[in-house]
Amino acid sequence: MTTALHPASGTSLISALQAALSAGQVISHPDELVVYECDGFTIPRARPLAVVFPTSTQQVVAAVNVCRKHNVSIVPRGSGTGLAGGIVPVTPGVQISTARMNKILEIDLRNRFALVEAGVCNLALSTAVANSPFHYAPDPSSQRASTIGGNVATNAGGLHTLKYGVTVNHTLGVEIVLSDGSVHTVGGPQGAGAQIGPDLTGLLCGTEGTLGIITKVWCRLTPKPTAFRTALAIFDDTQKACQSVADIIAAGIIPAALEMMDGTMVGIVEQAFHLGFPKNAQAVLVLEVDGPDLGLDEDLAQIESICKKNGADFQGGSDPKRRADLWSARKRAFGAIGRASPSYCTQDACVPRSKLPEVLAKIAEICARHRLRATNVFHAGDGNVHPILMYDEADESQVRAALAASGEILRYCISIGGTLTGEHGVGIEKLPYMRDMFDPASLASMHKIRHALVGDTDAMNPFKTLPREDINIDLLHPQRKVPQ
Amino acid sequence: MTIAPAQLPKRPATTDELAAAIAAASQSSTQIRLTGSNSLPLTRFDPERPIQDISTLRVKNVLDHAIPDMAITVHAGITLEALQRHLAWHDQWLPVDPPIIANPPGRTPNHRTLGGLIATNSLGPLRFGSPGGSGVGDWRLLIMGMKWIDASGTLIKGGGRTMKNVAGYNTPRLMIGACGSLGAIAEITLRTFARPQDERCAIFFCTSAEQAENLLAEILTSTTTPAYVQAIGARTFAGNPLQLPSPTRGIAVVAGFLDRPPSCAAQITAIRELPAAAGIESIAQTAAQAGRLRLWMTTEPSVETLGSPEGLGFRLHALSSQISPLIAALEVAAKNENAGTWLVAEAASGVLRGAIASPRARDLLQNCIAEHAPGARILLTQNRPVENPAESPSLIARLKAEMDPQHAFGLSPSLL
Repeated sequence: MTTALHPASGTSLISALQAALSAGQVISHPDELVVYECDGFTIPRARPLAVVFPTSTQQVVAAVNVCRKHNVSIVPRGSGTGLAGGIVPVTPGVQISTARMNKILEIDLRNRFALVEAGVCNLALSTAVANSPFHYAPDPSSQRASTIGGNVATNAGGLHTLKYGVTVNHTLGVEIVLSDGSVHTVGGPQGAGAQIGPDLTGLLCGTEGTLGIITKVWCRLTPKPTAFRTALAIFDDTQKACQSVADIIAAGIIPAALEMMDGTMVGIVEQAFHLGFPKNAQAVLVLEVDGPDLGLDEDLAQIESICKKNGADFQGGSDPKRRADLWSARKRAFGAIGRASPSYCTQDACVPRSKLPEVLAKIAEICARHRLRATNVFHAGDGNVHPILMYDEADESQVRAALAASGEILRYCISIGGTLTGEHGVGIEKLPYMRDMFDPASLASMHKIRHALVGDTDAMNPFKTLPREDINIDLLHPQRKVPQ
Repeated sequence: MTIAPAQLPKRPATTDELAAAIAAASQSSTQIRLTGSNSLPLTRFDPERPIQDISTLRVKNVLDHAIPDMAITVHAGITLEALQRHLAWHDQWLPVDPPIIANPPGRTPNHRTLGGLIATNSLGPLRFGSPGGSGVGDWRLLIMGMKWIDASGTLIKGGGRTMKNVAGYNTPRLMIGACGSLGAIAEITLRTFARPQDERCAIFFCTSAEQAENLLAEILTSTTTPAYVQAIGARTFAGNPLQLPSPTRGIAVVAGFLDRPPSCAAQITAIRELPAAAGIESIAQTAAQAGRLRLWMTTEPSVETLGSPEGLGFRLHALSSQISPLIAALEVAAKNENAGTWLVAEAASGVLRGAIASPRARDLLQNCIAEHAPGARILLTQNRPVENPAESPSLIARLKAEMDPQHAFGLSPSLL
């Protein structure tokens, strides 16, 4: 059975939400709801019944109770920067946004933690401790906009996860509101690193709002590295760049970041930021080692040797301006793609790093077969590929080609020991491929966890993350709004 | 699959046999007690129901080692020693140093199985952040994927073999610390690391809790990247394996580094030059001595460690800043009772392992926590869990009811 995404409304629901919060905290006019129809994955769109903006855990509970009473589903939302359609309401639903829960409640530098409300922007926490030796290490490309609660819900990654880990490695505890309105605290300032009992905080990270609404987060603060060496390795062949990545990892070096752009992306970035990349470059690695100053030159020399052995033109150094330019360009690379294509979708498979050469070759072959332009900018050190498939959203055949090619890429990555998503999450986008990744028993165990915390209802972000037998999501619903 | 009780493979040698043994026991309403090296049995069982011991000691193979990808897949029954020996051939290692269980004596952490270490969330000083001084070093970072067996004997896959993975719920994290109460760990895929070329530590003999806390605060905000930072009561340090002299009072602070030799040396110099280190007697130790000291510091003490028939061994988790005042207060309280103490803390992580040889030990501990470490959680006493759940017990109860409704695996310490 296929269930299409819906439009719906309900005046008594809106009134109840306004009574529980305030009129200014509820959006329900259709014109205002348009921007809440999708996240960064723009193909599936559906309008929520309303969007509410609580400012406290108590207000989240009040909104949850109203939704339960009116039998509508809840869709937790941070700032809507997700990339897998996780905030698209599949059934009549209300988005509960934590965006206005944006207070940093406590910073304890001595004990290396901060307690924040879920809607605090990722970058705001590092900014708040900028004058100290610490920072909040997870740095997804969306960090200027994405919320920490959203980062926890998706277990967001970033550029520096190779050495410092992903969001779950920096989450000490959370406060969560379940669909029955109950509030639970798991973990806390000490974290779960020494606890005896299941690691519930770890479990909740990455569950994409399907188990509850995260309202507070205890974040680990990490010492800022004090010395860096940043390098650019330019290759005339993508495979040689991939081989260099594999060789660096195999040498036991843990760079803070090891990022790759293919030739198409190099051209796009160069056109946008004028960093002096050679026009004939087929791939570049942007990499960084950090830590105590002593030893970094040795690490960099070893990396240079590896890259040069694979034919690279290597430029390394410690110039802070050059470093800032390179990372700024890398983080803004996705934004620059708009110069090349009106629409694009980004895939997110992760593979063993030694498989990168064959994966990139396969991506090129699949996209060529589907007559799609594609480019790659990705976390090479993690093996986390982000093929960017470019299409024109006004042409449905191109949209379908992009989805078909995405599916082939993901299935190929799974077949060689990879995973269908490294950091974006499953949302509704990747539901069809979960059965390629997990057998029925493993999926059933996840459903048991969901059943334990949510029960039999479809109350909390239903039909996301875990595939169900009774529904398929039609990502190309005819009512999808196509931008003019 | 039905297996007659007499045919139950009590010592299975493969993942399939392990699953079959669990399925058979589950079908006969028998409780399943998973045993690895049996070093730290924490799960509680219904005494009215039969218990079937199922050992993982023969399920102990290296299944796959992707050497260039720095990833290894092993059976849960492999001992830490066997795993580290295998990795050493490839100049790799797993940066964990779990506690020595003092009772029964003679056990070293290397005899413990990997599945048991994960199930009991056993880690030591390197928990603070050994991989590259990243400030993170727990099982969450090390485990990439897992196969575990549910109460029906079905093999479940969670996570994978990649550095990052957010496909579905990460069920392996639910197995960390669950003490086998939600499922049996069968196979684990781990991230491995290049073996550090050197280990060095500096030992500071602080004469007061205030001095120790000031030093700890500066070390932890310095530009150095210690792999471990420990605090040890002076009377405990008197028994150090290096036979270093110990002051009669105060706290010994130990900061250790795993890196290239020049980097280790430079960082040792850097922390000895911290303002808070001025005036504090200190000594540096090179690799062999630092390693011996680190191993000794993992001891999970019981009163038997102190040669006493009475008292209490314990493990607690506090904030890092509470550790020095707590150690000092416990030292004073015990000394007033003429009681011996063992007090060794992972100061940076806030984990204190201790023992007090006094019949009033429990009261002394509670009083000192109330005054100096409010919010601290006692995790173990006498190597047994206490009724002080770290996580929301109602959520764990709901998960238990769904995942193991017949309580085939016994109860998690969090549900005692």
